[in-house]
Amino acid sequence: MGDSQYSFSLTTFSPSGKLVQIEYALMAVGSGQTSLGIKAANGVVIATEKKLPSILVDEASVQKIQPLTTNIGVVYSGMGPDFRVLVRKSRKQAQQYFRLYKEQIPVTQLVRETAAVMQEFTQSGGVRPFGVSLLVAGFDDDGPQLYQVDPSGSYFSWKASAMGKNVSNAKTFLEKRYTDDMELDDAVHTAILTLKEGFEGQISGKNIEIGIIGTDRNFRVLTPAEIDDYLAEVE
Amino acid sequence: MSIFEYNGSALIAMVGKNCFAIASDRRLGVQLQTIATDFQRIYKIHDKLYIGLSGLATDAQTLYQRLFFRHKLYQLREERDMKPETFANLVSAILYEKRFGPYFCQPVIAGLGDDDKPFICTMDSIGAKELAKDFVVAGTASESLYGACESMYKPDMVCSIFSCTYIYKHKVLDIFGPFTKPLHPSNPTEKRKKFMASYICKPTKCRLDLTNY
Repeated sequence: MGDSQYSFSLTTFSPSGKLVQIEYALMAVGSGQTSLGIKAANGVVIATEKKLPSILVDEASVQKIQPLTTNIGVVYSGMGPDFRVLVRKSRKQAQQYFRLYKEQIPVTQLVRETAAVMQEFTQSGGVRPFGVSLLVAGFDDDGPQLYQVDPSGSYFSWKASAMGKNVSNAKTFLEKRYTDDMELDDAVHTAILTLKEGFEGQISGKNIEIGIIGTDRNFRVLTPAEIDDYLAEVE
Repeated sequence: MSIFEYNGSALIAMVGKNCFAIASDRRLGVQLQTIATDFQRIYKIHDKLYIGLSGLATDAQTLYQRLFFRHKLYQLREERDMKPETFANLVSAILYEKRFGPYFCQPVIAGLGDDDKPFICTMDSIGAKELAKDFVVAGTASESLYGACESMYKPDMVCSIFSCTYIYKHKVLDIFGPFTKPLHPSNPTEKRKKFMASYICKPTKCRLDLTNY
């Protein structure tokens, strides 16, 4: 990783005790497209805006929500290419765990290992921190779980959270709307309404992406048609 | 003499009704010379999981230490005990890592899995798993043990320790002092008995010994 001239860490402490590179990474996240996640009683939903730079872009080829295993999915806010690298590494770690134990990796363990990777890049030579925050949604033996992982490598479990451009409004909206006994369908509706709050332009199945996981423990991304159905229910 | 026969060993695990038993001999030898009669071959990984290691004694001890280490880390990270099936897969992976310079050990794994369902398995020295529903054997006396088990095993025995130990006493000629752990979900107990090889040929004496349990 880097040649010998850059074997020192580029992420260094400021006099006030902050790691400025991480602060800047968080700013990169904060200027990324809004994404959010909600943990329901019987599942988890994650969603994000999918605003493409031009109408000529083939929106079906852009997949912002990705599965990490059959029962864990992830969405991000921030830099897309950094996200792809993390998805690749996490998938490999999940499969290595399976190869060793013949058991699906628990959500907490995968989140821990992904966070460890992100932390490595704040303390290694010649690299910069990742410019993404992840929202990891999964369903395992401990039930539905939602975790946020930051560029610093810290992770938190959330009942509902948002990241990206509209984060403060979205979080306030979620705080008002969230209930502990929400069902998965209600959570999807709430997620859509939250995205709608800060959405510029007409919301449709083609410019948002939603991923859900329920008691069937199968993470899947909704098709644009399914999203349009939910949108119709919300109106 | 093969490296697996250098120290001598005999291991057996058997499934009963909602329980399992795992037994081993206690002799440690250097070829034909007996060095110890209290050598431990069965180790506890956690309350519901035991592993017996036959073969070269040094490899058995080192392998046990490595496996215990891995399980301890797993317990700390995942805040739970490993299931027997998971542990068996881990042992298999660790043995295969040394495919071209293996541990000269054959493990016998026995435990209670989900809903306290008994699980037993054995594998060869490079990790080829052999699951069984009834019994597994390993070690220098494995052929004798196979014969004994085949003739004596019945499904759903209430406490397979009896059949396990009984088989030991009767059929196996190169064992000293078995070490049996009958594992019932509510009461994992460990029974130690020191037997000399001469008892093997005296059925009456063996039955008396069993009633002392």
